[in-house]
Amino acid sequence: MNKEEIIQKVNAALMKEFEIPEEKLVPTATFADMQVDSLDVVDMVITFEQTFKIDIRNNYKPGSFTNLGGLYDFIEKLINEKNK
Amino acid sequence: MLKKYDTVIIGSGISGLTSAILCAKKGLKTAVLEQAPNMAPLFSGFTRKDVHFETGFHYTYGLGEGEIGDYYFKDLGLDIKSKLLNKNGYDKIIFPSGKSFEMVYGRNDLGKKLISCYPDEEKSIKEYFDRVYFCYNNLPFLNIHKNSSFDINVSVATPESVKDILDYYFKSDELKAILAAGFFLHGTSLDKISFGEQVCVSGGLYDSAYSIVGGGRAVVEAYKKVLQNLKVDLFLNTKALKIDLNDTKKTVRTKDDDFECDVCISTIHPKQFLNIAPEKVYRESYKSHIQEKEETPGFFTVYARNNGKKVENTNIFALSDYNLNSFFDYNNENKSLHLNFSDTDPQAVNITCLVPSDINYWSKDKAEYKKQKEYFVDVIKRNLNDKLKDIAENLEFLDASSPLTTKKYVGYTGSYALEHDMHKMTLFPMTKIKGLFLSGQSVITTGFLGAIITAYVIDKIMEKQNG
Repeated sequence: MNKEEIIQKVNAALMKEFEIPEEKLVPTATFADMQVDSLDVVDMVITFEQTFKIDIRNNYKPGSFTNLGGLYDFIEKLINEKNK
Repeated sequence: MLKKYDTVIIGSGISGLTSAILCAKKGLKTAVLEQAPNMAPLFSGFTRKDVHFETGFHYTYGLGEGEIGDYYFKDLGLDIKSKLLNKNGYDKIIFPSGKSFEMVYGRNDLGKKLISCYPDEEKSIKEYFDRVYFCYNNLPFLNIHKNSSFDINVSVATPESVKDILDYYFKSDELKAILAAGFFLHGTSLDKISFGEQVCVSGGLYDSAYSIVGGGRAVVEAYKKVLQNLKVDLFLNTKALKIDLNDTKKTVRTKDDDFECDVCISTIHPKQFLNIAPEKVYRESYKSHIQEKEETPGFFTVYARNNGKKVENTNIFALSDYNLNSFFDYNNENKSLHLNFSDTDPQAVNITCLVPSDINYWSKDKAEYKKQKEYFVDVIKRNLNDKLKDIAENLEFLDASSPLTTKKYVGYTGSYALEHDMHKMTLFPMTKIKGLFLSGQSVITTGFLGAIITAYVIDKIMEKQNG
């Protein structure tokens, strides 16, 4: 899966599942910008774990990502590690 | 009449009562609303012809000094006496061949016994138990009492299903059946239930298995005592019809009274909760996830008195097929049965098979419904005679219950409300409204300890929300 596909899948889920408007989905957007609360974060982790078949919970550390661009990179890194 | 409380709990099951204690202990004025005429109707069981039958509680783990259940009982101030079950066979699994295996507990004892029966799979057995214990010791949900830091994400779902794990480690169908028989206690098929949920239900039983002296009724009495001391008000025959939101205040409307509160914890079925909750309780997509979730299968149970020799096992799983998902094959008359034996005298025996929980499956016509019940009683009796003739001969059948009976007492037809399908969204207690929570067996995980721990999770989230 290349970066483009990851970005597309993440954005599609954020729009469909979390009802975040498309114009807010820019790489520099923080979770506060997207108005995401703690319930959303828990759901997001599970959604992305299922979408990409990766283990986010045991790999996440505070500061792993701070904005949407960081989330794309983090997911890409986990996918690459899994495929090694 | 308008009644004012700090906290209102909807539903008096174990999760609701535990939340009530935790709130009242903080000095919050707390009320519990129960639609049924008695408190904790599922856990209380019922009596027929001087024989008491359990409907909500059979056994648990973690009640030894300092263990997880013991920790929570003490923290809640519950005076509950436990008793270790038969170490050499608390559960018995009878295979389709007629051969059987008795479950032992003790961290290494079960592994040793399995290795002696299935020596070719020694390496896998050891690896499997290492994995179980690793998961048991590390699942945040099972360890929140030990950790000072609390992460809201306490999902017990792991990426692998029980079926994935068993197929990965083992070749023997018998061995897989032994390790998975307890899955019956999830109400969700092996390919859909996550390994983490299985560890929550069975992991601790590998160490030790306990019954409670006096059974589910004694647990309910212990809760009642603590709630009375904490001056929690209990309203029976009081069904929540609507939760309205006005700024931060919630008002729970019932037929006779309105209950205004700051915090409301609902333990009713999540789909019913959607019907009564304020519009903005969840995002629309989350509401659809709840609507799409399936009900767990129903229990059809025949209640009997054992007039023969006392059976020393707590549970017998009599399997009709090595594929345990056959439990869900409703149309097959060769049924797998679950038998539970009480340690009371006379000995009560519950014999259960899984049946459809779809309300439309069960006839609204009284005579027709009676026929459906008679059919399943007959199916259970025939299977008992085939699989456990020596026990069946001494049973005196006293009553039977269907998913409609369950609905009458707990408000839903499924054995454990909504299914815990790892491929679908896990339900969490938080909602979009501060101070409004969802609890009960559909949330995070099932079971007695599951319900207690979920109440603690809510308590921690409330602390976090209040800074």
